[in-house]
Amino acid sequence: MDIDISIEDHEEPSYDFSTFRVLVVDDFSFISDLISSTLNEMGIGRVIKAGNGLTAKKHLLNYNMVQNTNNIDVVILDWLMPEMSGAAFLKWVRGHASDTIKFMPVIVCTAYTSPDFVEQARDLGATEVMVKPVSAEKLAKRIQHVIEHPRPFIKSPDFFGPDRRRKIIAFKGQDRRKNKIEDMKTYHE
Amino acid sequence: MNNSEENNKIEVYHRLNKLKQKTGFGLNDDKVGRIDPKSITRAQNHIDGQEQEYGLIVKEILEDLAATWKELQTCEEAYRDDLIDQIYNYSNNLKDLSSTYNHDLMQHFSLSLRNFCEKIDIHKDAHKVIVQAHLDVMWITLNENLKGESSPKAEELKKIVGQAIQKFF
Repeated sequence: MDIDISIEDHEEPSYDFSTFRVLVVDDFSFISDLISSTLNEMGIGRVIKAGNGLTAKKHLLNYNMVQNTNNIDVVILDWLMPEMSGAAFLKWVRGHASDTIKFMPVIVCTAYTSPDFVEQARDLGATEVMVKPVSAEKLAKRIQHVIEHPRPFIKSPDFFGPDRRRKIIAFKGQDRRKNKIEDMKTYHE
Repeated sequence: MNNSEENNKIEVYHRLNKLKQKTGFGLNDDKVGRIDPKSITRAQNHIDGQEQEYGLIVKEILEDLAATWKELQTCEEAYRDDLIDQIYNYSNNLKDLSSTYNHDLMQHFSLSLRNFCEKIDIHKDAHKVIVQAHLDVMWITLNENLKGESSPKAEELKKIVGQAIQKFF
């Protein structure tokens, strides 16, 4: 879904990002600095950086174990990193016991564009995939999408993450998807 | 319904939109917010302004690549995989950087080297030639500030690497 972020005047009010916190995880310091300062220019109150998944884990455990206004709100995650990859980190996030960690919106930022990659990221629980190279417009679109269109989380025997189905499309052949109300347990916060 | 069927049910969690609330909207606010367009323009100007660092950062990465490559050729077997991973990461970083600023030729070579890392066998002289060819053309690309892929010089450099791969691989 395209979101209009043209520079013409709109009636929509702007977000106040002054208390917003974003964790940027990228092993390449030039790119993580670039994303951080770009987010700062957009008014994001605090950007925290991590050079790999291990450091990112420490930040999340530090900021998000208890729900409060200092929580990190969104993670922007590089995929290919030494020490702990984006995939391993995302798996850890979605498997965590704490609600303030496991429901975290994670925007995967990668140069990989193949359908196989997107499927892998989605199956590990990515909220959004943003294709590099980085631009202010792409970052803004993804952040706005995460804020405006949160998807319900799904837990099945082999998956936990945002609902992977953006559309319910009729399936040709034997449909093994569980779409019926009696197949689901629904929780409202 | 027995316990097994109950346990196999899909669980659906509908969460409050606290993210939107944190940006100054009400929890049940239907209004669509936006990121201030002027701030997006400012942010893009900032990204564009950082291009002045491009040459320096590429030089640093190429020096790291060259040093790691040199080490890889003489190191003990136990360290080889780690060093190949490092070369893969440097190439990947170089690709990300060059694509950000539309340096297509550098992007082409760094992607090619990154992909070749998955096949490197250090015992084969042919593979050494291919990696060295990548490093040589990337230095030329930087030093001669070659940006696009279609100039005669760019075509010539791509041909050098292409021939090395075709001949030795």
